[in-house]
Amino acid sequence: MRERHNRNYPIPESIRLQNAFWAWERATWIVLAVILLIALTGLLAHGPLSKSTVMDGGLSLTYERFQRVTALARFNARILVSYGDEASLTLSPPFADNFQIADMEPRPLRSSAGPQGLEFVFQAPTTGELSVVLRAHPRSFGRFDLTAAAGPEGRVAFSILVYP
Amino acid sequence: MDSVIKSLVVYFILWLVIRATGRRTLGQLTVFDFILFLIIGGAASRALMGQDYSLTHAFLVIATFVVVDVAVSLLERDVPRLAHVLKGVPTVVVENGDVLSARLRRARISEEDVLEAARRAHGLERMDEIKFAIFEASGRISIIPKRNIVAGGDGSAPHGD
Repeated sequence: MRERHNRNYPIPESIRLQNAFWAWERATWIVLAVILLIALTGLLAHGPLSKSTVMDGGLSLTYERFQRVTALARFNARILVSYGDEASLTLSPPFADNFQIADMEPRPLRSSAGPQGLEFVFQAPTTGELSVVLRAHPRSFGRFDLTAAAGPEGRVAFSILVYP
Repeated sequence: MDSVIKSLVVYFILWLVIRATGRRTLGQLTVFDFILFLIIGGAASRALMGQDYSLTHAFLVIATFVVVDVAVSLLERDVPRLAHVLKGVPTVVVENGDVLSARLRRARISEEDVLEAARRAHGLERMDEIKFAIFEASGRISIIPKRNIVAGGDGSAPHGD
């Protein structure tokens, strides 16, 4: 009873407000712990639930579907080259608008930007499978619906959610 | 625009998280708490500055924090109830030598913390020499000794009349 009783001496207490505040404190700890657990799964980027692969024909794209603004993200496109000695990878216009490419391996023979988006042309490998690794920073946060096409080999659509 | 908005969001998140660590952390910094605040400062700073290191952006971030700080202090002055919500309220945790254990536990302070404050402030040795121990809104523990406990003028241990 003494614990719950409001005192006016030596200080005016408000034990009800204090108890409410302590309850809010504990609730906040629980929320923070839950956020950390969610982060470990990759739902806040970089983790098992973030990695995704989409395929169509001879094109397979592995990417992170949850990313964070300005944080480096990795895209891996595998293209089965059925004929010719060149292979192309085209990324839709929203990619150029919202991502800044930091690095690309292998380096393309040539690249261009147009209404269809960013096009990169690579030397086709002798093995027939080209693996392109692209690293880019998202410039802004939000949800982006993108497409990637590898000429006649395939075309995939994918969505990325970028956190602020 | 984003400089101001991001600064406001970071200020609010920092206030929320640091408040949730409790007054005990603010008032009695341990090594772990010190490291925590160093990391928080570094992380917040990187998030605020991003890739923009211009003087203009730095000024806007600083100005936003100053304006919010002043606005909050004015609100606290003019709306006392809000001050209680934002800063917290003092709470008695020891009364006439009796420890209010449930309050102590919820505040995450120990009897040893109270005794340490009593030793530091008044040279007291035992809990029954304390009339009131108050856990302040700042996180410090204030000690009001019993009136018949008087510290020696030469700094010697307190003695009764």
